[in-house]
Amino acid sequence: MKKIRALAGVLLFVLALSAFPLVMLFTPDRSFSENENRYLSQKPQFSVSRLMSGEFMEDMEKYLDDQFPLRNFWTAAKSELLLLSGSREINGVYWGAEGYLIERWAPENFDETLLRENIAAVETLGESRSMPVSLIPVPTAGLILEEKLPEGAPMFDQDLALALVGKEFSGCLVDLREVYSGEHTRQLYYRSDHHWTSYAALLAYCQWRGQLGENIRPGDFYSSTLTDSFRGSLYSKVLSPRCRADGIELYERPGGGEYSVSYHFGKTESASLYAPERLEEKDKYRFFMDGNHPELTISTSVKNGKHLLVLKDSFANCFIPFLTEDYETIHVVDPRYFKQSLADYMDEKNINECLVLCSLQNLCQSEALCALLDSQ
Amino acid sequence: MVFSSTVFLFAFLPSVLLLYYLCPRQLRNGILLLASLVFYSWGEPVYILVMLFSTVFDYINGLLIERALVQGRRGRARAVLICSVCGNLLILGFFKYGDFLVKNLNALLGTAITPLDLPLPIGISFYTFQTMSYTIDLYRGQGRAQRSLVDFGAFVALFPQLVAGPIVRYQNIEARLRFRRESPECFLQGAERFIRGLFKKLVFANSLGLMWERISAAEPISLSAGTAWLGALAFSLQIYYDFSGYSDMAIGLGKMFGFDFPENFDHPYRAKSASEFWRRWHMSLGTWFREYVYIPLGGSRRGRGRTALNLMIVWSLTGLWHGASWNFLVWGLYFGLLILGEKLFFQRLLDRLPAALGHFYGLFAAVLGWVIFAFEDMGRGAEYLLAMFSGPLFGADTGYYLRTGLPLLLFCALLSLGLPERLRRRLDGAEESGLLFSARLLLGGGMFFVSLCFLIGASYNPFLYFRF
Repeated sequence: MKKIRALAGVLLFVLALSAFPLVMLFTPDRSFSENENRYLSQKPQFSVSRLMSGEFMEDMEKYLDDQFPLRNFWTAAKSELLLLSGSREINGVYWGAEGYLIERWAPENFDETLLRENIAAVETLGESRSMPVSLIPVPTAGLILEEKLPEGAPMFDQDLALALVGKEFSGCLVDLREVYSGEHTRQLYYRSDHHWTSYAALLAYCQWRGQLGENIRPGDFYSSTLTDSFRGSLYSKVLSPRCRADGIELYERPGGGEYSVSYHFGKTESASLYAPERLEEKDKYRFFMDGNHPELTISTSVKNGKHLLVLKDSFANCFIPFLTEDYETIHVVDPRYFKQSLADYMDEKNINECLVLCSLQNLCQSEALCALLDSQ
Repeated sequence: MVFSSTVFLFAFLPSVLLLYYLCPRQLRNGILLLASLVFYSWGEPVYILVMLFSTVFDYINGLLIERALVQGRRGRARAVLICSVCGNLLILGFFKYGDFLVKNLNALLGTAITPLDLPLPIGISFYTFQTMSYTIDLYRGQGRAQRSLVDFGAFVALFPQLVAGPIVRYQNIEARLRFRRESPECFLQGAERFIRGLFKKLVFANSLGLMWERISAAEPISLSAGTAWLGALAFSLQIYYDFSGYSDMAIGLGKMFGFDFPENFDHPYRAKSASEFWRRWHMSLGTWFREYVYIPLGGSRRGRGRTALNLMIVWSLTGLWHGASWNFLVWGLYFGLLILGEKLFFQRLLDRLPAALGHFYGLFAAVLGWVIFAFEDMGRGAEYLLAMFSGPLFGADTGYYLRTGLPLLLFCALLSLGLPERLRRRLDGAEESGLLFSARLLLGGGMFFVSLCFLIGASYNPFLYFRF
């Protein structure tokens, strides 16, 4: 009896070990993980040299990890277990109040030198071409929604960085802390994504135009809801079924002017800055400007001789459509992917104004901006 | 390859088990040797040559020593032994301590020798110690030389204990190499032990490790005493669950193949002194150093001065064995001094104290030791120690770490003291009922499930292209 019992136990163990590889063997490999937004590793190529160098083994491990059955299920279960154990940090994301997921920004991940370099590069750009430059650094939800963070959670104090920006930058600077300080009813950041909401972008836009001497109020815009099932990048890191979905809003001016868009140096032309088909996909934020592009040009029906250069990251995607009645042409450059001479580009396009709009985190951590500007 | 990886659990292990149990008994050592070579070459294929050399080298040395002893030529046996020990130490020294030596020479003499920057061959600290114990034991007339290169190779390369011990002495395994009887009961025990180890490593050690990583990444000066202590406790528990989990997996795997490896941990945080801590922590290493260094040096039988010297030698070596860096040496000497102090002065005092005070002292000594151990940059380590004993008791983040980490810390701490062990002994003593058996099966299954969540969850990493 005891022997049979033990044998049954052994069988269960062996089954647990072999069931997964058998499933993997008899199901087709998946090529893309929409949740993770990346291609999954495929069966590794075998060769003697790859075996000797160890590359084959490395790829094999990645392949098995990536193709493991029910990956999302295991990951979600892990998140639930972590929360159950009391933890409030999953995969670098804080589990905040009211369903807010807030990306962790470690205090030690602040490079003051890089921030200074980025600001100096922007300053030089304005001086050398004697054109007005505006800067809108968007703090992360960790600053604006600080009270939603788990109590006492270690987080870089973004006020430090903003103070430095205020001291070093002499152009038109929009301090969003003031803009958002009175806003307690509307959602400024998505719960499940690291981006700001369209409404937060609209507030920033009105404030910026106000600082430039124009009077534009949020009430001038009407809103429509595009979707209420957006689960963004932070959800992808946590995958817990308890994460709340977000709505995406669109703000438009009544009778907004005509414009045409040329994406990536004219590779595609379009009459719209919106991509409704993206609302059917996982990353619904790509509705705005169809995601990121190295370059795109908007030609509007406005004839005022103002040609704007926007240096931006994805935070600007839901902001730029507001500009179509302010400039004759708007040239949007993403420093990560723009590989040409910016000076030539600016000459060619008769740029006479510039807006730098990106997350404060990128301004502090990314070298792309100063690399592009310094290469001029 | 590490045990806690998809490729080991779901490709390597099932294949080896299948092959092993399909083969007739005579071939099983060969299968194990082959599997071990594949296991070893997985990470760093070229270094398999180092291990093969080590194996053949001491296989021949063993035969030579035995022949010399049979012929009564003790001097010759001694010469071969010295050659064997030096050979092993040279290999270990070259790969593990070469760059450390070069860097210190450069700093000291202003020379500019380029460090080799070689990756450390996996398990080299373990298998060189194993093969040395083999030739030394033979020279001492304990056991007989292994004539089969396959069997000897299986002893050296045996994958369950190759990477992180326990350090198995040849005499402990010889009989099982020749003959072993695998059984379902034994296999199941092994599987249970393996899953327990897997769980300790993937769930406890990795979660505690994250907490330690978070706390230790901050500038030590900015830490409040409370946070610094939480970090130190997290690291102390992490290293225990990590290492003992690995030993559990090794012992469990051994059982699945019919071996009985020595235990390596016996609830070290139950210790009431530094000496006792080391009788409970990484026991196979402690035994090795006692057998092959401390006792041959004369142990504690040659007067106080010599005892002190011997202790210091053993403990500086033990420290350095853990890594080629000054902090490990300091860590070893720290324990050497504590143990010396206990031996010469205050062990008797400790014996008379209430047990609770002894436990407090033992834990305190271990935790402080781990802080020295944790920081290769000793300046940073010193700052961290300072933070534990100065500054504000409570910082803004202390509450956060308490709320989010205390349940885990407490649970792990209690388990490490072995409360369930007592229960388990009572359970083991009782005739195992069907109900109990099912409960154990269920527990094992549950632990396997949770481990899998943590294993696959760790490989899950969303790629966000939004940065510029």
